[in-house]
Amino acid sequence: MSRADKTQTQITYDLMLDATNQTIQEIRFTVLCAARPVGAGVAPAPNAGAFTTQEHVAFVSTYRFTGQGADVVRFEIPADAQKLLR
Amino acid sequence: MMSSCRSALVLGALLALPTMTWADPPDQDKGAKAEEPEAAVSRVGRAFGQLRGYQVAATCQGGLAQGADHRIGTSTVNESWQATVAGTVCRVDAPQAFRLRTGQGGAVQSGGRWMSLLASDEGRRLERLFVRPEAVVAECVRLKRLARWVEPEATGQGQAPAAPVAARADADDGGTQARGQGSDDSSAEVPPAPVSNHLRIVGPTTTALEHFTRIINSGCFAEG
Repeated sequence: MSRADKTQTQITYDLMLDATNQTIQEIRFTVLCAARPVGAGVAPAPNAGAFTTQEHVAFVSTYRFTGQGADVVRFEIPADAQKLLR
Repeated sequence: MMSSCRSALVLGALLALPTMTWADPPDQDKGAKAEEPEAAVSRVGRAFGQLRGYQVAATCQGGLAQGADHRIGTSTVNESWQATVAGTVCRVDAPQAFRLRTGQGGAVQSGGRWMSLLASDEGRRLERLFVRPEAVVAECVRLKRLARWVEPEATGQGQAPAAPVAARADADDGGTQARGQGSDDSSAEVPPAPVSNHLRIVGPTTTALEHFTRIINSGCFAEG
């Protein structure tokens, strides 16, 4: 990611709750990093539109939860895997 | 003399009863008031930590984006995982992996044998890109002071994210008075803001940089 300008980064967490606002149904977190325009120097001046008008790097992770509060699904852990869970 | 004293005591008790009720309103009234976003983050974070188990469908998409809605044009990462958490262990379906609900490390099946998560490319990718939900929620709780309620999105798809509610508590408290002060007559017809189910936290740049570095370290970029 040679064009990433790490001096301009942003992270946003969005928590979507259920209708009664009791539990988290979804988490979305967005990581943004400005991208240096092609031909720009190593340290370009900060740009207010880095995440809106300019091309930038974006990573969006989304977690959707189900089965909360329900009976937990049990699973077997292989012995060889169990050894590594320490 | 005795009867007048008894009467005074009874009268005093009767007068005190409604006063005590007003001083300590029932929980229903407390619930009707808008909850502070900071308190809501703490509460749902605590509830999440107390879950015995859950299932989660996770995705991570990334690359070069354009526009305020961060629509990804050139995709670099497009991963998805299904995981089940039971007790202290999380099982990931593909790649087959187990990891502790909190902390670090775990086991991934690679080439027919179990190995440490960070010892294989797919395990490293999983560990770096699929952050434990518990860690994300803990981070949100840590940053709860930056939390804001977000109004439900209006209409249409692909719009910029909804704006945070700046002064939600004030709006709720102000009620009728605020409407009366508006210069525009139409403001009186605006219905009260719907209850939001959406919290947003815009974290500090240091946290953003930590996450960006973690993503880079996953090896998802060929250029490194």
